[in-house]
Amino acid sequence: VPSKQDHFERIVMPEAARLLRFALRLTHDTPAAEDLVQDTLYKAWRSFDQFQPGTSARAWVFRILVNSFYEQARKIRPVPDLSITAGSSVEQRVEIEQALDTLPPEHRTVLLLGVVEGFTCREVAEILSVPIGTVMSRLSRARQAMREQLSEKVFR
Amino acid sequence: MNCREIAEIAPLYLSGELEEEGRVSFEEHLASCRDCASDMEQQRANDARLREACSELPDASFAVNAARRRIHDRRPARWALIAAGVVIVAFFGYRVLQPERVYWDAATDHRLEVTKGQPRRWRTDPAEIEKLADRYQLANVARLAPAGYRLEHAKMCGLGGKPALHLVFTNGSQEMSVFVRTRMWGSNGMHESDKLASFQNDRLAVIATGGSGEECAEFARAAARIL
Repeated sequence: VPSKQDHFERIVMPEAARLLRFALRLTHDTPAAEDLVQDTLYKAWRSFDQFQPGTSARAWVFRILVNSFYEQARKIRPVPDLSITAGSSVEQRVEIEQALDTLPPEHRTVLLLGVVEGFTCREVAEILSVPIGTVMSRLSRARQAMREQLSEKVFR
Repeated sequence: MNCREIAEIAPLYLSGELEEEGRVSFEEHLASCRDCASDMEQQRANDARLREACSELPDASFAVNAARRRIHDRRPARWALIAAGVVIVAFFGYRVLQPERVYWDAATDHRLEVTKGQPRRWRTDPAEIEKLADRYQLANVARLAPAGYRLEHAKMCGLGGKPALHLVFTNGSQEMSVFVRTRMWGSNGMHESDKLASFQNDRLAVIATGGSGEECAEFARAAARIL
């Protein structure tokens, strides 16, 4: 029988990088994001007994992160930091990231969860504690807004 | 399905959540509607660009290590440290202060009951006094009297929260109080101050007060010989 600790290391800890990617997009502040993630992992450990085996650990721990973020949201003041990019198609990447950052937070959040992290609409609804219909309409509006942002840039 | 319905359920289609039947009619509509088809094409392309732009995973080792430290942290909580501190301070404080409390009680008892003569039920019968002394397995307590003193009377009292035998000795002009109780904290042997002296071994403590430091010490030395 694997210990609680082994089990946790195997199914929750591997989500850390995804959690951090999402947290960086939420907070725009590396120390705040790292803090949010370590706090999320610790809270996940504390409530690991409540995790239902067979359900998605990823969705479970993202939900904890979102709740922690809302808890801290009053304290954290987002500091836009667009300098965190490197790689091959830097220009295009920056363009998309900038478009993403112009979206209202609730639209950005559903795009990050539904598209980047690949959660289903149902999972996103659970993570954010909102009805699935809300997720669907936010996703449609977020996609529309991204499209407008990106085509604007093309014509400039 | 019409174009409005297609737009509404597009998120479920793109996330692969549509059931077989819904997916088939969705795709039938796309096949017959160029606007919706290109719309969906573009959404898919934009999603792919977004995923590509965010494909890099950051290094989370700092957060992971910080979380592991918190998870494996077996240090006691702050409240436990405070509670332990209180217990330790109380324990050592008691050790240090307890003899002082006993001496204080002895001096007070002597002043009120002997000097001021507040009414108390004193035992004067030597046999009765020996019976009181039995609880300390101390035979013939009259032997505690140095030369010139005799045992006058005795009673039970309390010193520092423990029962004590209060013996009063007199030489005709001076009354001395001698208390016998279980030992106090601190080392064995003599303890002298200007108005009090005591002796204790592993079992009992004898505290003498009522006269000068030297007179008290005489009683303590007598106790040292007997115990």
